[in-house]
Amino acid sequence: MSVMKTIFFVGSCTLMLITIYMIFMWVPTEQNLGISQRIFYVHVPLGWIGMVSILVVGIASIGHLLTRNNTWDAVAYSAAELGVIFATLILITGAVWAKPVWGVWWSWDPKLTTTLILWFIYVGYLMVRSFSTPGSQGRRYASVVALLGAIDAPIIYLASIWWRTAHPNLNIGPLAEADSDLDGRMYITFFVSLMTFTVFYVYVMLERIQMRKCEDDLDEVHQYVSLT
Amino acid sequence: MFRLLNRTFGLLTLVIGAVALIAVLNNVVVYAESAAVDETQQNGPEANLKYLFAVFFLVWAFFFGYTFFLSRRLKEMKSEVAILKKIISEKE
Repeated sequence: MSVMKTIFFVGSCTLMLITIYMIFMWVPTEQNLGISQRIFYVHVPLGWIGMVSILVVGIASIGHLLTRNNTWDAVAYSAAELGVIFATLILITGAVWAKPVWGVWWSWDPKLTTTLILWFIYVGYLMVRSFSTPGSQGRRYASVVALLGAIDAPIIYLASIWWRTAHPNLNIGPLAEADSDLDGRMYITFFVSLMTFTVFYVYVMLERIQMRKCEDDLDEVHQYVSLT
Repeated sequence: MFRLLNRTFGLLTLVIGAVALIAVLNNVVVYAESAAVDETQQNGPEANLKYLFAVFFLVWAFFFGYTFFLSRRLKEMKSEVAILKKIISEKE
């Protein structure tokens, strides 16, 4: 486990440096949006992680509900905590990008609104965990919240197809348009950035899961000590 | 202690979210269809560079903040383990 973590840590650091070089020095500037288009290489990978994270929370919650295994719960909790951070960053970076491009910090665009809902789902999950009584009941309730929340991920992805939105058409993914106008170097930079954030996410997840297990063990020892 | 930390984290997140939402609703809400692009802002190679730097600054600030949060939690866990060891040894 520690070898894997080291590999992911070194990998994410190296890739992060390469990504920064590519974004600032290598990739060409988009003609219409100008230099602010480079926010795309950070904003979209953050969005990808935010959506993946809620799916991880949902799958781990199913695992916990079926098996009652606390490892699944640790995975779900860790993914939710990381998810709230990434979802916050999606909203913030999106707002900073929207200002020079749309002229406003925020609009009730379907993609923005569904992402805001995702943020509230993450916070709701963590609030249920925090305010429920110790034991398995709170975990089960939170698992149900996570399952409902996981439905939001495909809605965010498909929002630009289903509704009229200020976001551009899908350039990447299974439903992307074939005649995308992205330059080859832009694609490469985007995929390197996507890989960087994914590796970083996996590394932090491994750290957080381990820490979460320690927290659970400590709680058990606390209960044991208070009983004896 | 951890539940207290978790509760604080949850509350803090909610408060930040609420403040952000109020700020958004207060002044800057417009519908996407009516949003206009100021083309004069997009001229020049360094136009809107501040937004790009703002994004990088915020992303790294969040990552470092979260790392700091985790390291503090780890430190508290270590001190709790030390206290528990002491209690158990006293009982034995």
